[in-house]
Amino acid sequence: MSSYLNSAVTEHRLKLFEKEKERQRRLITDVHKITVQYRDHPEHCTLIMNKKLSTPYDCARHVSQLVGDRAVLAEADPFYANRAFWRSCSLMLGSVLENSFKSKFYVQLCSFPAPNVRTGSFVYDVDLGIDWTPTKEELRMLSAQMVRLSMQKLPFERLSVKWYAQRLLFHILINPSKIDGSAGDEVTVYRVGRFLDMSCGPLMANTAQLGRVTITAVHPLPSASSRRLHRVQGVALPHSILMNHFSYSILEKRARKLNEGRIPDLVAMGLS
Amino acid sequence: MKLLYRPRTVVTAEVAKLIPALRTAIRPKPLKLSNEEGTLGKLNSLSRLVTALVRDERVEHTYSTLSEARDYAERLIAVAIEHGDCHQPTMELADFWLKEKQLVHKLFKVLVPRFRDSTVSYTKMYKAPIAYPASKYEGGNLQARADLPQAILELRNNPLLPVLPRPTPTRNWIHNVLLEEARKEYSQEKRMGEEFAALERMQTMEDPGPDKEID
Repeated sequence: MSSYLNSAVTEHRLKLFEKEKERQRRLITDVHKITVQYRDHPEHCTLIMNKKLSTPYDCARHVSQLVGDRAVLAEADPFYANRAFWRSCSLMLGSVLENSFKSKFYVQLCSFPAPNVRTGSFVYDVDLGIDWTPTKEELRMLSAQMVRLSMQKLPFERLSVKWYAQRLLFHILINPSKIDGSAGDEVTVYRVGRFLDMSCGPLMANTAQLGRVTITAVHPLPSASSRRLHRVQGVALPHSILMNHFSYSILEKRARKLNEGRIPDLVAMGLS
Repeated sequence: MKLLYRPRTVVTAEVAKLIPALRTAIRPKPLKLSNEEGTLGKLNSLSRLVTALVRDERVEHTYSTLSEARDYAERLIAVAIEHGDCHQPTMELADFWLKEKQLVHKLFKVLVPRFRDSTVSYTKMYKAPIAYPASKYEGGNLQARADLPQAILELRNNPLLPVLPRPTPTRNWIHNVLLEEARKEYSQEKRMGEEFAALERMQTMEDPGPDKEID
């Protein structure tokens, strides 16, 4: 058992995130206008937006509320939209895992492999500190937490931070496995609700875009170090796609098998 | 067994050589399209539709009437392709069905080259919605057909905008990707299971084992 509390860590990160966001906002002293061309449904239009402040999501909301609510990405290729959806699901799963356990368990999130829809499941690798074989009810509870998160309709907030700021956000003592050797680079941090995570992005706009979701399995991963990671897997569909329960059960069944995505090497990361 | 009707003399084998086959489904009974002027009046009203089809490449009318006119239009184009414009009976047929004589030139010079290598029917038919409330009186004339099922008949490969929107490809949508991968995995597992069973069978045949005895 660890002496750290997940709630305290969340609080600490959130405070630093707000501080960094405020600092970056203060850097922009004067607002320049830019024109954005939009060519799609419902009508072609030209928007006048703020330089370095407006996001594609803001543009979408100006075009139409429907576009803002439904568009996953400012990209027409479904391949990238699928990837963004899968990545967002992994991030939401991380948020659920960090908040669903009792305070005596210190859950440390590690990472998730590059999103690949063809594997049939989205993944989060996590150090739970215990050997855990979840029951059906426990898995269902995790799925319910995912649904609850999507019902809250939380936006994904993006912030680019430098290495030193990121080091503060994911304090090396508090969550060492989130740190890799990318010193000096800018990394992207996403916030959803009270949860913060690093991801290269892009992610979808809002958690409400998640529709049907099931957390299907928790597999212990082989590890050379003393710490043991668990691979938590699930399958989900966007809100706008409805599927027959039989077809969905095929997807659930497949998502129970161990996802073959890259397993994080804790020894190479210097954590054992 | 007593036959209710005497079967007609079978002449299909000979007729098939004379007349090109229709590529549309033929209804079992002819439609009873009533007309004040009798059969010729009915054919004349159908010929107005065929003329409009060749002229405008797309017509809108009731479903039943259009489906009847469609067969005549198909027949006319098929015969025109078969015999060309130097064939007296074909010219007479075109003269009857096309009320505007400049369309005879269009039939032989535009439609015949367009459909010569076609392997499907020359026309295409869509069901159209009934516009409710169906106004029965339009310009003082009784529109008795206003609330009947409507349809659109068009020549294929026409230069007009398509009737139906181009379908959005959904192959790369997330649910289809997931289901396609699940299908692939299932068939791969099934194939491997079959191969494994066949291998086991071969091994037991080659090596029956020392303790197996035949009674």
